[in-house]
Amino acid sequence: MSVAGSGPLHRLDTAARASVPSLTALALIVVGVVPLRLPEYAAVVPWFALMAVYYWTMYRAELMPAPAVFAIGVFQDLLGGGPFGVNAFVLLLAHGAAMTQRRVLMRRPFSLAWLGFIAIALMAFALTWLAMAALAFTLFDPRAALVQYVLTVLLYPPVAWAFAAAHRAWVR
Amino acid sequence: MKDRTGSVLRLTQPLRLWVQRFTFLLLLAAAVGLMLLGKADTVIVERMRAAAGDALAPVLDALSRPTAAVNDLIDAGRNVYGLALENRTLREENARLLQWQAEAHRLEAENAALRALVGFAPEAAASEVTARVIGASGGAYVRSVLAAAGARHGVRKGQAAVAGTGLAGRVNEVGDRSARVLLITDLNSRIPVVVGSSRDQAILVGDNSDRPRLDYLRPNARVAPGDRVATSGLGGIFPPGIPVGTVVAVDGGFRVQPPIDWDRLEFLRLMDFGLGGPVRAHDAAGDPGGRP
Repeated sequence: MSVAGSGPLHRLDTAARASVPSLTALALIVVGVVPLRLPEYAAVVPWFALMAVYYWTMYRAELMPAPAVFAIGVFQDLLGGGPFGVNAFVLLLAHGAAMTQRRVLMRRPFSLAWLGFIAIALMAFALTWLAMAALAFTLFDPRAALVQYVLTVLLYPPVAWAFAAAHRAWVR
Repeated sequence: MKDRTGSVLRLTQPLRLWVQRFTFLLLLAAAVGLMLLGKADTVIVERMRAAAGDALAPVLDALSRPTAAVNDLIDAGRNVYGLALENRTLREENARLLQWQAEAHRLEAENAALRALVGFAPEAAASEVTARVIGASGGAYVRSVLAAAGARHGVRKGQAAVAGTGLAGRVNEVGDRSARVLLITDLNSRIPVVVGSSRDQAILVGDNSDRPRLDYLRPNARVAPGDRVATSGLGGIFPPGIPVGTVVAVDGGFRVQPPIDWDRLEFLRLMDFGLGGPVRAHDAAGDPGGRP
C-alpha cells in the first residue's frame, strides 16, 4: 500500500491511517465513560485503553509509540476524575512490557497473545491498585478492581477482533 | 509503509533504540510528575479537567441519549419480575405516606405559626439548574459524575447536587458547559450532618461504597437505625436540612442509606443557595442579627 507520491493529500492520508490506533483508544475511553444504568457498571467498566495499547503495541508498534500511549493515559486521567497521572504511568509500563514480548507473541496464535494480555493486564491492574492506594493513603476494596480485571480480560478477544477489522480496513 | 524513514534523520538501529528508551523513561518520569502535580492539588489540573469535560460534553451528551433508551429497556426487563411484589409494597407505602402527609400538613401549619411567633428570617430561596448526567467515572477508585451544565448555566463550585429527594454530591470542578460532581459516596467526600430527632452532629464520610459512614459521633449519641440524616449546614458549604438518607447499622458502626439509586443517576439538580462558600457563611454566623 505504499504509494509513491508525496503530495499533501498523500501525506494527509498517511497521517490519517497512522492515527487510527490512537483514535480507537480515545474513542473507547469516551465510550467507557458514558453512563449505562447497569448495576455497579461505573465501578467495573473494562479498561478499554489498556486493550487498545496492548493490541496496537503488539501488532503495529510503530503506530503506538510511547508518546501516544502517554497522551492516551493523560486523556483517560482527565476524563475519569481520578488521581491524575496514574493511567499515563501504568499504560506506559504496560506498553513497555508488551514491547519486550511482541517479538515472541506477534507471530503466534491469538490465544498466546491473549495469555500475554492476561499477564500484562494483571500487572497493570495491580499497579493501578497500588498507585491509587499510595495516592489516597487508603487500602481500597480490591473486589471492584478484580471484577474490572476479569471483565477486561474476557472482553479482550472481541475487542481485539474489532481492532483487527479496523487494522485491515484503515491502517494497511 | 517505510516511506517516512527517508526524512531528515535516518538513525542507525542502536541509536534509534537508545532514543526510544530515553523517550520512554522521560515519559515515565513525566507521568510521575503528573501524579505529584495532581497530588499537590493545583488549579492547573482542575482547569485541564474542566477543559476536557467541556470539549467532550457535546459528544457525551449525544451518546448518553441513546443509552437512555437502552437503559429504559433494561429497566423494563427488570421490572417485569417482581411487579406484583412491588405493587403490594407500594400500596402499603402509599397508605403510610398518606398518614405522614397529614402529619406534615399539621407540622407545617405549626411551624409557620411558631416562625411567625419568633420572627424567623427564612432561608434565601435556592435557584437551581437541572443537568443530565453525561459521564460516570470509569473505575473502581472514584465516585464522581460529569453533568451537562457549567458556568454558563450558573453552576459554581461547591453547589449541592441533589438527585430525587436526597443529596447526591457536591460540584467539584466547573467548566463552561460541564461540571464534575463528587458524589457523597466518594472516598474524598466529607459532609457535616445531623442525625435524627436528637440532632446529634456527625460527619458523613464516603468510602467508595454505596452507603457512606457516619463518623465523629459523640460517644453517647442517641442514634438508631432508621433515623433521618440531613445536612447540618456547618462549614457553610450546604444549607442545613438537605435530606441525605436514613441510618443503618453495619458491623457495629453506623452507615447512611441514601434514597438514591447510584446505578441510575440520570439527572441532577445543582442548587445554588447563595451561601458563597465557607468564609461568607462564617461571617454570617458572627452577625448578631442572624441569631436570637
